[in-house]
Amino acid sequence: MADVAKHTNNLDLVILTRHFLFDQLDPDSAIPGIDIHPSELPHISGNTFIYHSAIATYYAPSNYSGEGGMYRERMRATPLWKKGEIHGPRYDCALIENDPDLAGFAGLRVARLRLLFSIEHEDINYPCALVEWYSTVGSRPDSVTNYWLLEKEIVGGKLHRSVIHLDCILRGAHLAPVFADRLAPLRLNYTRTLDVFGRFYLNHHIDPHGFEVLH
Amino acid sequence: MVCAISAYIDFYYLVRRPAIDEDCLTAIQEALARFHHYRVAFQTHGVRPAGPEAFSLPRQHAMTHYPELIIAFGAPNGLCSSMTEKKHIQAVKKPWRRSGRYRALGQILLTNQRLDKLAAARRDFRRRRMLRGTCSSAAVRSLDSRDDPGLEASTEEEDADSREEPASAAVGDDDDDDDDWAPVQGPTVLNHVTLARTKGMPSFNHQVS
Repeated sequence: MADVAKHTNNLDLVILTRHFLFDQLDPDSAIPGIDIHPSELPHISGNTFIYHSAIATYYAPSNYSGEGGMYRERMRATPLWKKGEIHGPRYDCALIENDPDLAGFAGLRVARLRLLFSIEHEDINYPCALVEWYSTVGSRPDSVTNYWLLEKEIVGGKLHRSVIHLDCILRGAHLAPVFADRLAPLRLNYTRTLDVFGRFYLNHHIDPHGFEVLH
Repeated sequence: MVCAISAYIDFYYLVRRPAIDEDCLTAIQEALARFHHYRVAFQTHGVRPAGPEAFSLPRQHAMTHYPELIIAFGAPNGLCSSMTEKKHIQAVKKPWRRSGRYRALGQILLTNQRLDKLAAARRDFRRRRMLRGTCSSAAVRSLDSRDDPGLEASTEEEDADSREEPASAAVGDDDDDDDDWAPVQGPTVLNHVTLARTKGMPSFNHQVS
């Protein structure tokens, strides 16, 4: 996995995965994996497989869905995505389940998918995602647009990143940039939007299912 | 203006729900009120004239009747408000353009009457299995000694009511994003997320110490 980490320029991949694995193996532990000393974290053996996308399938009868109301969406985390004139990296954002007891956005978090991979540990396959977290700005949505404001979460001076199980992902998230009072740079390519801007609106009007989930 | 549009889209998604309860109805009325409140901005900035007649647009007026009609008839459940507009094209615009323009109303009515009769005849022929395939395919069949007209599948004369099959769940090339968002056939199941079928980079077998 160290090779994967180096190859994809995610140098914290190994330690974050070991935190993740600790929580998977011992979910009832009083101390969460993030606080465990590295020497007591499980070691990763076996292969690491990388994937460039993941498909979320969910019940969305108001979307253009199949007969049972199911709908699917593909989220990508790839260093090179080609479509027509577009030629570059693509790392989508996603809604992550946080607290299933809270309704709407209160029970969710937003993160950017940086790497989709799977590991095998003691004969169990773990589909995972390395994510960068966003946190909300303020405790209520923006008063003008009614959208929640998001910015990248910084912990201890660094971007807050984690490895999470793919099951935590609910669906893709659409983040629209906050332009504030400034004009966007003339030559800015829209594919770089998520990298360039500091704050974003979480768009809950993206589709009927998004509205139900986030409203 | 942004607030007005935001309220409008909220209204849209709320009435789109397959089931509408009292809380939802309250939210619909609240979104409508917000929309009307912020819509004034379009008058302020000169997009629409001032005065009470400024927003005499059929679909926007229809919004005001949604709450009472939902109470009376239930959720619209995605009923398209463009229906009358679409039918206007087929029933009024096109017949008018085909008419002699002199006392056009009578001509339009006659055209519509004939269109309805043709549609009815077509339905009747289809029900009697008289519309299957094209003239050339019928000629081919009559020449073919092994033919069995009973099993002939209709080609161009597809029943107009049959819907196209949405894309299946099997995905081909993962880089092709034409079916990135697609309906999924099959039973309703719990949400799940799966990794793409094809792997990205070569695998690594590495012991981490």
